[in-house]
Amino acid sequence: MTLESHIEIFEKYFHQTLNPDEKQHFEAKMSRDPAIREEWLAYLMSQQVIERQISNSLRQQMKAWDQENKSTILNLIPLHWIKYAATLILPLAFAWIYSNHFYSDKALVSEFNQVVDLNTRGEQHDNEPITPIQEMTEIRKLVFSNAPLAVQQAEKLLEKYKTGEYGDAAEWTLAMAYLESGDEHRCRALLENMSASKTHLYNSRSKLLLDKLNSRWRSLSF
Amino acid sequence: MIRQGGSNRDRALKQIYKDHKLKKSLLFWLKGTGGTEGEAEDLFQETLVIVDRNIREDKFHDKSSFSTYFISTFKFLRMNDLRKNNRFIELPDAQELTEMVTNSTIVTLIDEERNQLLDQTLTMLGEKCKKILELWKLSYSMDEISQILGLPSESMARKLKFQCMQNLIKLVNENEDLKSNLKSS
Repeated sequence: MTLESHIEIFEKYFHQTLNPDEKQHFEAKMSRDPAIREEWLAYLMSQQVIERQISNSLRQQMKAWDQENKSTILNLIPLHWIKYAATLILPLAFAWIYSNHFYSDKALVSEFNQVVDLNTRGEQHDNEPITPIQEMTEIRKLVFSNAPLAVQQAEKLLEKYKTGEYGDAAEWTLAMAYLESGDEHRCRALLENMSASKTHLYNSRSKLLLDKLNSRWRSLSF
Repeated sequence: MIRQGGSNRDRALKQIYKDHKLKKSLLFWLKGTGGTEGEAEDLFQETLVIVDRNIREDKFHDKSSFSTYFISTFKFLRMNDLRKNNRFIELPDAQELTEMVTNSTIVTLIDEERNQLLDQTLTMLGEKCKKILELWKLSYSMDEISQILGLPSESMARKLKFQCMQNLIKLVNENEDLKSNLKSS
């Protein structure tokens, strides 16, 4: 008999599926033939090898189950949080960038810190007398580099030109210096005066600036 | 379910492995014997491997509940570890544990030299043969085996399994070290 034919009988004997006659015949054969006994022994040993394979596979499977747990946790926690966080953070970030770009003190001062035409009201000021215009231009430049000093100098200028078109321009310059120095309260007081006076050279601009200071976007900027 | 083999066995083992209550109670017990969380995790895995095999080999006879059997095996393994490291602990139910747990399988599984020899034989056998013999031993049908391994038919799976079994017996026959090790058990 060959090994091929033995395997079938070994398997049946191993799983106890031989009928009594076949079983008796096989056992008799094994007791007579040492070669078959050796093969049977090798068959039994091969079962040990397969059992080892099953144990190794189960160990691998347990590692995979551990990974499954970890990846489930990863899937659940961060992704959900990232989605929710992104939904909240992105609009807030946009609002914050937008408000800082257009509504911060610096942005507003940059937009409004210009000298209007003192004669034609609302346009650039080529006709201003040189000395007062030069004075104001210097102070308005100073607003960006040294706001507290600009405040001091603008206050002096307002003392000097209390009324008239230069007085209006000095008042506006002071409002700009206050805003840049962070004193919004005083800036507002000046703007409200200017916007209340219909003849004020900066009437419409002060209203516009007040609107911007009162905007909701402003509350998001710092 | 483990005795039924096939995918039922897989489901049952996964359920046991993910039984956090059981794990937690064994961890608590093991810490009482001076063990760590890592040791508990390793021992839990070894216990599952042994319990799986004992059930498939009909060495668990439902005299006790499954969880009692699992816990006893776990404790037996721990005692064995401590004994190997010359650390002894007194367990009130040591006698009971020894009666409950089948020693032979455990001893077989923890014989390092034998495991190395078995692994060498498996490496020589090749991936496909290892898998087909494993599935066959776990009572998967030839139809299931052919599907899992992507074989064209059930008869092809049968033929391959037969060839692999032949190869394995030859490998065992040629490996004198393995033969003498297994004979000594």
